[in-house]
Amino acid sequence: MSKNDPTIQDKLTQLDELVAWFRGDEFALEQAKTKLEAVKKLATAIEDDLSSVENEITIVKQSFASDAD
Amino acid sequence: MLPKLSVSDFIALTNQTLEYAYPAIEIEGEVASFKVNQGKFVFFDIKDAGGSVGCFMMLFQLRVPIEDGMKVVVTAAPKLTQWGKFSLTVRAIRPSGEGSLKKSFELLRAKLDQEGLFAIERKRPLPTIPQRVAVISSPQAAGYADFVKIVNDRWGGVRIDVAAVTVQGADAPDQIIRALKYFNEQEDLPEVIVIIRGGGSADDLSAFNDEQLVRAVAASRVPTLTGIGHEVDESLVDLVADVRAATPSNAAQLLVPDRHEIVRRTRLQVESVLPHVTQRIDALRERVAQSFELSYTAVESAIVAHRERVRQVRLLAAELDPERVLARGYALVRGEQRVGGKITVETTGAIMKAEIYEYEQK
Repeated sequence: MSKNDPTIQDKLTQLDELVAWFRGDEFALEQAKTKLEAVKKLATAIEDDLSSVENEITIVKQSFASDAD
Repeated sequence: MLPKLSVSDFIALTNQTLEYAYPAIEIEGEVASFKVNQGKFVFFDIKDAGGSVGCFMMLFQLRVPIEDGMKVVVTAAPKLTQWGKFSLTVRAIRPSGEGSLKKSFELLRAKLDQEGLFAIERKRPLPTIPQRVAVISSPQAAGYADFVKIVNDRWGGVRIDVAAVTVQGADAPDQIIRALKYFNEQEDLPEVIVIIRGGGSADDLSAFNDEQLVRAVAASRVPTLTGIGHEVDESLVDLVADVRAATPSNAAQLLVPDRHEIVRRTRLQVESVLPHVTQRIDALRERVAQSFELSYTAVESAIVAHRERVRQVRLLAAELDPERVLARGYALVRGEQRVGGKITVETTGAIMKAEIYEYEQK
């Protein structure tokens, strides 16, 4: 994943915005189908991300046993 | 032949012998005559029922509040001073026994509270979904394993850097302070620092009541989250941290959201959209129906109005019909209006011819 790729947080925010569009005043029936497809696609992408992504745990090499280290 | 030494040599030899015999020793006893001189030298006696020994230490080495009557364990080296006085040079001192631990805890708590270190206004929120997390713990400890297991189960994609430190004993506070400093000095700062330690006795957890450690946590540029001991354990580090979790497992729960919960919520969001569309379509349909109804009513009203107008015109026309005038007894006279003129007089029942014998203008 490059730095410019949207994070899960970005995707969740985008999903919230899309869903809010359906409830808001800007709703237009002509665009509803496209938006609905975008919601489904985004939801699938989020699920895929969440099921595949793992944490990267690294033990810091530095010793904290004394100031000298 | 017995050795003959100068006084200074004797003192030096005695100290060498003591250092060899007791490079460091832990002594448990009760504190008496505790005092701080010139704001940097600490003097007190440590005693039990059978004896008493004078102790000396530097104030900066004093990591917890001490007062007369407290039971303590000192880590010290015995020394004979140049004035021939025997004393213990103390490197570390910690309260011993439940009563002293509690007393020391309360004293330090009151002091730091007075300074505002535990104030709610100081608390910073944790990131909702952190991408970069620093953990300070002992990777061998059960508490750490619980924390990692739950974090991995709940969420993914987080970069977690772990500073391996000892989490109990005299060295623990300094190691944790160094780890805090290490993470706070990173160019790319972590979003949160988590301090993890599983359950233990009050003595095991006493490292987290160290004054310098508490101050280091308070000074952290990065928000802090603690998961230390069990729910009932409360350390001063817990109190000063931005967020306190009840246990290491709870710290994992507070740190990252639950991916299963997010998936469930996402699915619900998708499911919620379609009824909205249906609702909108129904609303539009209703609007169209209402418009049609209004148009129909308007057309119907116009037709009724026109019909009424036609009816009235008809009535008026009927009133003007000559037959009706004749029926009321009037006659219709046609012809030349002059004396001697021939005229035709029409009534409802007859048509008569006549001649005018007299004519006069009105």
